[in-house]
Amino acid sequence: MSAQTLNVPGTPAPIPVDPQAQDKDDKFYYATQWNLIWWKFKRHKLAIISVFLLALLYLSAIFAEFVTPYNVATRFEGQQQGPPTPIRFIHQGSLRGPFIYAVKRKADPKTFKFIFTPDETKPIPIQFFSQGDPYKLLGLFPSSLHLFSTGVGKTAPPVFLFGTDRLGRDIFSRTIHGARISLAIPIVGVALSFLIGVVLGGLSGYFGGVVDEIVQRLIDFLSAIPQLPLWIALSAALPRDWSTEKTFFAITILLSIIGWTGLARVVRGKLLQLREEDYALAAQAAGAGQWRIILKHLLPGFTSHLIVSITNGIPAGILAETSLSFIGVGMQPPAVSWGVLLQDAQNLVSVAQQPWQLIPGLFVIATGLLFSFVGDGLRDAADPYTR
Amino acid sequence: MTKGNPLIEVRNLQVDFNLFEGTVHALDGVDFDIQHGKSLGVIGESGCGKSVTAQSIMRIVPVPPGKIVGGEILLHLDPKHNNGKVLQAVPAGVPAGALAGAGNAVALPTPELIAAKLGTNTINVLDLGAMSVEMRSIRWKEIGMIFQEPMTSFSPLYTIGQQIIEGILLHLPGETKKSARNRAIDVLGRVGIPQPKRLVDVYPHQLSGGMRQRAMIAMAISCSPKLLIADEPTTALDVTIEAQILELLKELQAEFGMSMMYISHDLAVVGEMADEVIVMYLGRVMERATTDELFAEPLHPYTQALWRSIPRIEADQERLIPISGTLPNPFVQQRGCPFFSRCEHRIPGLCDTQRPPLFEITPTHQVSCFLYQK
Amino acid sequence: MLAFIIRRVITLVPILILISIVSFAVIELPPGDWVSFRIESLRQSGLQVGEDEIYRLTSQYGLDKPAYVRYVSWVTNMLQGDFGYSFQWNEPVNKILAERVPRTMAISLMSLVLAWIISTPIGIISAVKQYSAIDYASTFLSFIGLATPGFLLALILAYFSITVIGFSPLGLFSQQYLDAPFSLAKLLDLGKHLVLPLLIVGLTGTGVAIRVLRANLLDELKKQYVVTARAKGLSEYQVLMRYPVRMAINPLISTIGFVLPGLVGGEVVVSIVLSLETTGPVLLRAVQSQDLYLAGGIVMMLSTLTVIGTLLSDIALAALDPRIRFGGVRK
Repeated sequence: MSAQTLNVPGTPAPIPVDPQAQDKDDKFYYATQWNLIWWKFKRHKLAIISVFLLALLYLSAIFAEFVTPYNVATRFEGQQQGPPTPIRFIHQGSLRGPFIYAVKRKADPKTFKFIFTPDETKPIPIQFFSQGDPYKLLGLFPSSLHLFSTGVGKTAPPVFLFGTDRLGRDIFSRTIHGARISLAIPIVGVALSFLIGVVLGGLSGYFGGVVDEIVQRLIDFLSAIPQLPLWIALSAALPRDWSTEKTFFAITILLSIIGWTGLARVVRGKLLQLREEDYALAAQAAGAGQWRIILKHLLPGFTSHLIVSITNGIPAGILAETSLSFIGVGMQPPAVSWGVLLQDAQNLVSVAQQPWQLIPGLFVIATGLLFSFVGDGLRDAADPYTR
Repeated sequence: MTKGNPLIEVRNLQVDFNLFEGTVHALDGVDFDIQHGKSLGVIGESGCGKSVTAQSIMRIVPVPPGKIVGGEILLHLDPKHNNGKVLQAVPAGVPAGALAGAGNAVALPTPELIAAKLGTNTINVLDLGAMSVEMRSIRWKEIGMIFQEPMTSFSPLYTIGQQIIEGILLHLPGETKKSARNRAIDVLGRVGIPQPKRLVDVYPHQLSGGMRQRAMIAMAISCSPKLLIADEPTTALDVTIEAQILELLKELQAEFGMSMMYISHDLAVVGEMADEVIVMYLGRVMERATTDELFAEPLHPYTQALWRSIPRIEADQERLIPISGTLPNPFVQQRGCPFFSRCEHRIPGLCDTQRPPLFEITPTHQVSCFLYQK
Repeated sequence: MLAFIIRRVITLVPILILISIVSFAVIELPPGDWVSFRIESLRQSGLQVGEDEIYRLTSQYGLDKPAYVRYVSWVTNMLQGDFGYSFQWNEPVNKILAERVPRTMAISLMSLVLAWIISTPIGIISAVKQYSAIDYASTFLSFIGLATPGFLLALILAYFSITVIGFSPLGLFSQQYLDAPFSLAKLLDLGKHLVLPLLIVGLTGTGVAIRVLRANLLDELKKQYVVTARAKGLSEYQVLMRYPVRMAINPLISTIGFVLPGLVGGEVVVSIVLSLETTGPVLLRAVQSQDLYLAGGIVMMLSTLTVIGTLLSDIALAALDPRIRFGGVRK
């Protein structure tokens, strides 16, 4: 598409076009598909922010022991079912660095509820990069460095960003730790679904005929069954005494076995459609082999749909794991996932009194939203028809 | 070209499109007339603004991103040509449909009533709101339009009969559902669709391409418009069907005394169909003439280059002669003549700094080129 | 059209068979059976059960026969309308199903209708006035619908209902109406209790519907027949409703098949959380205690009804789209 065209003998030469503008045009026209997708994605402010926040979340999950002041099993006597500790900045009229007041718990004799009164005389500063419960970073390196805390061991009054649960454990620490499982299961599950879905959908779409019929029936059948009852039944089949890891993998496999249908449908549909496109026929006429046609010509045509399916499948996976664990047929204590944390909120009466137990739920929603935004941005970016 | 009996007069029409990358001046001062009962051909490359011109007359330019920024389009409602009927003033308080007696309740007021209300027979279409009652009344009743792709022009959910009848009921207050159906069957028969009584109830996808185009023509003339705009109606059809459709259009024009605006990039077809022709390039009119004049003696360098590029069997030609160069960047407004960068007769200093006005060679032949400056 | 229906009904059969196998297998999967579960729970409350007793119970419940024999007898019984016996409730499964499953389906379907009613105007406005405040709000709404698990929404809304409004949404009826005869007041009470489940179950459906409608409408609005309609002189409202909206609604009908399983599943979860007297809590307990016929019956019933619902929506789509009805262009 450059200006050096059609110098036809016998007719005057055309006037050359501005070279700088030409360069810019060329860069645009010769960019690869991935370049284009990246440029368009960058324009999507919401998606970029979401990617950033998600990265933050995943990093926090990986380095959970560092980010949180306490370990998952650490209990604090006398602090059960406590509300989130307010972080204050003003003590007796003057501004200071972030600090808290120690809290004393008393049972109200009339309502039998717990009342937490802060001791406003002594500000306890929040220390950053301080010492705390010992742990093994990434399971390998022993350390006791924490991002923030109020000091070492049990003598320092604890800071509970999200309050405590029935057994006096810090909900904030458990939430961040729980992110590991809750964020990992969907990723692994979706990856598996992706594999199964692409393979089966691809075979079905490209070869058609009997293969297509069989896979089609399978997809119809699997997607017609209400998934949750099936999940409940299948998960309940998992023995209670399995280790956390085993349950983790079992649930992942369960989710992917039932979840691959959506992607397979998309792959199949797109392949069926693109197979008939002129450029596929042209490639065939030019002598390209089947695999080359599939991989190099057809696949890029629905990469955008694949990306979108993946990023939309992850929130679905999060929801699934959380729902199952919440009901009690997914991850079990002592494993920590957001669903397990929300089990404590099963009792509506206790939720009414201690609403902070729902905070892990907010993480669920937020993560789902972030993935959806990213997915939306990716879809707009990868769609060759939006400018 | 202001002679005789104009139905439509377009004066200095300017239409912009505000796109993400910039503003395109799709129409940059277009002038032409369409005479009563005559057909105007519009020739030009893709992107020169032919369709936008048609859309502007119908006021269906997509706004945003489009915007009509200047000019006027005058529509002449001539009572003498209104099938012999004379305009009547409407007593105040009488609803529109009552004038024609029993009929249907959904009809819009007729354009004649609109003219009576406005107090003039000459309406500047650009003064009306695009979706106002007045403009909607004019559409289809005064001006019909057929499009390039007949398949996508019909909705697949309704029968062609339903879609034709919808227009009839809207614009002919005297028609009832029954009479409208009969009228639809009539007009389908008139355009050469066999067994119209049966086919009036079929869905668009059940017809072949040529039949669909006929159905679309039927729909467009069902309300006896004074002007039929044909936007590349045969481009998607094969040659034999094309010939039939062209034949049909000529018959209809003669029978109903319609004017036609025939838009195409196919020079031969335009030569066949049009009485007068305008040649457009980058949103401006380069040359206006009768068909005979234009084909016998094209004056504008662009027209000449177009003529030269047509391969001829009888000529002793070894190579094709395209027009050198490419279209300039549409986002940059051309200061002088838009054809400057590709013109073999260009005069630097003059042609690239000033816009050539339309110079009159004969009363019917005008050229926008400084070569013909007197 | 008839051939189309018959063809679809025939494909129903193998699907139903597969469902029955899966339902049965799923219950059989966990080691042990109802008897061992019962014995374990008895043991936990201090009672010991002797060998003879175990044997007697096992043969009494027919649990000593091999799996495939039980499967076959289960299926044959089902075809005659007998879904077996619930060990836990000590009642025929039919009775429990008849009581609970219709409620689940009713709530699911009502949520779907509610979702449509809400999402249609929002979806239309969203597409017609792209990038407006309503468009962004509706996009946000549908995202929330996708990201929020039903049970969590149930918890949050129940929390607000209890603390802010003072209304406890548990169960389908308030305490005083539980055994009361039918009256207007009882109906009103039911309505109040249904608000939350319908909203929650419908939220996902609403999110999906808005997005589908918006996307389809945006596609349709670009098409040529909309221009033709406008050129005919129709008003903007007429152009919009009679042509592109009518086209964009079709896929919505076909999404019943797509959304219905999710709705039923969602209803199950919500009913567990809010202790509604529908299938949810019963299924959970049945599965956990390996109450074989009850659990299998519920899964079977729900799946069958959902599959039928899907079939009906396919037929509805064909009825609405003349292109499918009369052959012609079919991708």
